Amino acid sequence: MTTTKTESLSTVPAAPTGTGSRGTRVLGAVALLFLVIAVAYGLLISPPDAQLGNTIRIIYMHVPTVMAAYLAFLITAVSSGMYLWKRTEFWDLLGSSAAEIGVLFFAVTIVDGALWGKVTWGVFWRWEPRLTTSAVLLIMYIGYLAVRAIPADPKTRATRCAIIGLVAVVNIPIVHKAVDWWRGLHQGKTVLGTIDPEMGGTQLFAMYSALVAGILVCVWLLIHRFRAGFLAERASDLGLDQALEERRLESSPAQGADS
Amino acid sequence: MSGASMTETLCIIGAWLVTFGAVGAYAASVILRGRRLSKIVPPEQRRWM
Amino acid sequence: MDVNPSVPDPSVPDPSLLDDEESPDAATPALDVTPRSSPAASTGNSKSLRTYVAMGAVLALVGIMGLVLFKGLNNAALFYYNVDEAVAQRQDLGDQRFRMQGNVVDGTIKKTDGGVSFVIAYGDKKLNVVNSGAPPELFNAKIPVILEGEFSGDEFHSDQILIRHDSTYDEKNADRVKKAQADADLRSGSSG
Repeated sequence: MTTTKTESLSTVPAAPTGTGSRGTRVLGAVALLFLVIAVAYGLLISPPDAQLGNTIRIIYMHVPTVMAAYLAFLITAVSSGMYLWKRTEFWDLLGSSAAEIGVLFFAVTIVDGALWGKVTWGVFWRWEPRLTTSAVLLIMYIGYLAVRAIPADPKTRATRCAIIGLVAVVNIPIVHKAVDWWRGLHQGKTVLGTIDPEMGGTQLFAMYSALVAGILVCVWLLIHRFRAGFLAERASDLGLDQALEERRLESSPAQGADS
Repeated sequence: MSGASMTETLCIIGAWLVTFGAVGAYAASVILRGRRLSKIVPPEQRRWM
Repeated sequence: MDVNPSVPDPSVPDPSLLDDEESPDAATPALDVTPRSSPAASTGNSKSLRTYVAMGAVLALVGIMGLVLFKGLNNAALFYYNVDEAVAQRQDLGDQRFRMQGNVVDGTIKKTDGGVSFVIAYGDKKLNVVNSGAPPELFNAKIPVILEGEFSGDEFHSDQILIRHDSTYDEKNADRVKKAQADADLRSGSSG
């Protein structure tokens, strides 16, 4: 292949053997750099908190993962809207890929939060407003993925998912404002809401490096997941083509005998 | 008191491990899935939109 | 598939399934694309199984959602009473279980046989608390806590202390510690 198609290779790059590309590799390297900084500052360099002690180090995972999840869910919502308007595979794939990544990050957020709660509050879980609304949010997006798993015509499936993707995003402001609207156990907003988050310098640096790392990993994953989804659709088309071809071969001798 | 500190340490390590473990495992599964599918899908269709 | 020309074929394709006249293979004989129910049609069976599993998952999630909303509305609507509110509603609350929020008064924490006792204050009201079981590690004076328990006479009997954390994070030995202490003093109702 390389020897016979040298000319075309110079203009058209070889087909990728995976979901990676130059872009994702650069993005991945930058994400990795921020992850190393986040580990160094979050686990080693930053001092313990005056009240929380070392438990604050859980916050360095809890907040970035929830921000990555929110970003993913917002991308799902925008893609859902765009799908209902444009009706293209691109928006369907982008929306569903982001929903899956959002569920991943949000589930991790809840686990991290429960571990933090065990140490700080003394309990893993209470049905207080922030936690209850978070549970509702997670269940709705798992529902999105479950509805997507129901075998259906791709266009029907995409429309169903787009509607859920638009409805479920309403949960984000509810979860975010739950600490203001109702009395609960969870503390107030750490980021997005307070102009100056009440954190010390090194703590803030640890938090924001983890936040940047989380967002970069989220975007990096989204690109890979989108491409894997695109390949899965092509493979599924291929399977359908093959099945049709088999039927065609089966039916042709019978047709021949008939005439 | 050492028992309580033990819980704290376990929870902190647990949170970081869960985060890196879950995201890492998911990333690996997506990339492996992409490689597997790339072997099935013909080269001319392996172009992202 | 065994086709007998003399007998009317029951598997004659539905006309609506026939190819579009303008499609490239319209000239070729009609292709049977009706779903197969024979054992050979494994793809069809696995697809319907997938449908049932996925539908089951959706239904299960709807059920879980209902449970969560029930739990949430029961608890979250009024997650706790402040000490002054609880004292004001002493008669209505009777001996029912509820959550109460307040600040632990400095110098009142005493170890007891089964746990710890202390005074909790909020607004202009104070209340003696007897907690059974060891308090959480972060339990200390001047911090806001939520207690789970019930009134017993003029005391509050709790079995779970939840530490409230306000979103202030301070590096150890930083100036902010003083500010946090000042805030806590203010909150613990020094006016009362």
